[in-house]
Amino acid sequence: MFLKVQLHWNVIIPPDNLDAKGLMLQRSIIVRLLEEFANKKATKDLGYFTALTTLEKIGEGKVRQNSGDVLFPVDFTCITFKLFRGEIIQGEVDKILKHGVIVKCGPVESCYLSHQKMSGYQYVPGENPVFMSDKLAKIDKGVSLRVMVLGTKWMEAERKFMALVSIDGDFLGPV
Amino acid sequence: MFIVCRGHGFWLMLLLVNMICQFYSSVKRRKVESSGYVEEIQESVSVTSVGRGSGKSREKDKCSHPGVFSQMCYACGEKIEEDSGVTLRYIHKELRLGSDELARLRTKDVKNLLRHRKLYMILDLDHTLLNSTGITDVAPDEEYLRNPPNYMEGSLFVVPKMPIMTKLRPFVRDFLKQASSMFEMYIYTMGDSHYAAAMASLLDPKKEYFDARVISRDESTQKHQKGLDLVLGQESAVVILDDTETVWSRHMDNLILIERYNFFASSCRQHKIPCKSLAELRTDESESDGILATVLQVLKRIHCAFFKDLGDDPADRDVRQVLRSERSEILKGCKIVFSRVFSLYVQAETHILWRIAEGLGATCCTEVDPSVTHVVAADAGTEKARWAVKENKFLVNQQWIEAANFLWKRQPEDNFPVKPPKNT
Repeated sequence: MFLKVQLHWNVIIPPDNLDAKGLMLQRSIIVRLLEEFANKKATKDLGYFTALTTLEKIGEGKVRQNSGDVLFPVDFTCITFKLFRGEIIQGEVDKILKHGVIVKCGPVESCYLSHQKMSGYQYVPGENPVFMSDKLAKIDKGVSLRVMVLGTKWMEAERKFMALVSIDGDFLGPV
Repeated sequence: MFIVCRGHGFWLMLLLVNMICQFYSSVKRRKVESSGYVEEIQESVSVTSVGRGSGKSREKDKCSHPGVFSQMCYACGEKIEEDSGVTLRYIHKELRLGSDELARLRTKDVKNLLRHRKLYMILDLDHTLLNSTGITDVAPDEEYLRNPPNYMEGSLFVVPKMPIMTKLRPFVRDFLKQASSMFEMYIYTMGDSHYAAAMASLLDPKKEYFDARVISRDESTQKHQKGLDLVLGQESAVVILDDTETVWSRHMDNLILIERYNFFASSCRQHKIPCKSLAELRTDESESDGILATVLQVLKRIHCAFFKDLGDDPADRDVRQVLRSERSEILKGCKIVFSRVFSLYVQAETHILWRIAEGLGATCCTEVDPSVTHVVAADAGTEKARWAVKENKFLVNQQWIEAANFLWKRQPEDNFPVKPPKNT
């Protein structure tokens, strides 16, 4: 679920942010790194970038000839979030459909739980539709669900993951 | 005494030991038997679990892939590349259901809905529930709408992002509220998804009536056509409300045709109506007995007729038959002759008005006879028209049939007089 990753990125600092005092320059590099980290959102291999933990090293800057920007190689450690098949996760029901449920789990906004993967539950229509089990357990909008990941798909265009989940198994279902 | 006692004690001891031995051996035997039984159970369990496991793997091998979410089968998680089935983009852009799964869901859903005494209704947006115009297309006589009068508050909206001006049809909010108790409603429009979403939020800001059931041309499976393949309901329980007949060529039997709502001048121009718009005339349809109020009464009749006889299973009934039988009562007992309504070169039986009249329960013929009740004429000077006046039969123009068709009710003939001959 959570991965600790060490990465090596290049941070570009425009000339007007360069400062003779090293402290201001370091601040500019960190701010720029945080901006890029936030904009990156996610990658197929590492998942969603959630937190930058430590800045290991700032390398020697290289000046770009045409623009005057300075490129600093940066080593840092961060935490990423990626779903794996077979993993047990906890999410919140976002949408109730006739044939299943859309579950949100952290940064993954679309985890689809099909009615075929929720044995013993029946769709109950109404103004606020729900799935109700034989044992009167209720899957309603906003309910916390413990689910198992069946598969994930990386969407390159939107830079996000989609997932398929199931509650067929021991200790899975509404929390 | 002591010896005797000792002897007694000896025998007692012997007896006791013997009993203990017997008990122990029986316990041991029972234990062995029971452990054997346990082993048998375990063996059978392991066998069945292996069987189940292999069954599972077999199941997985032959997974029918009922549906796909983001190119993964939602039953087994396998990656699926081919585009089979129907993509229900309006529910979720990554959701696609196979035809078998759709059929299963429809059957299940229709039973659920009928149990709640509800049917499905598909509603068109433009010219049915509302009318929109581009901000730049507002006619000079409609300029007053930029600062609308108080009585239009809550029914006239400007959507700046589009940029359009939208007027909701009178009675639409009451219509939706009352219809929602009898129908599960869908919006199906030929507009794009942004427009559909914007209009749905005007009509249903609290998402009480439509929720995610808003289908636009972006989700449609066929160009310039609407179909029920995207609707999670069986055709036998679907009523369609639309102002355009041609887009529902595959589902004409489900259609209730509604008179167009042309509030803005741009709509009149679009449909080549050579008169001023309602906005230009500074008027509007009636709330209490306008088109939507009339259609609501029709829908109540249809709903009542569908659920009237509780003897048989509602799932076996067909709303299309109810619609047909309700329509066939409208002009029942009328025998109609047409005069100069259609060209001589057109076969009368194939003309749209002839077909509409027959659908409304009237009998149509080409020649007059004493049993004829109505003559539909374009001109009062024709031979048949003069015969109608002479024989004291009803003489009406073609709008009498059109009005009955839209209003689902026989209209007073006096309201549809035929123009006098041009040469007088």
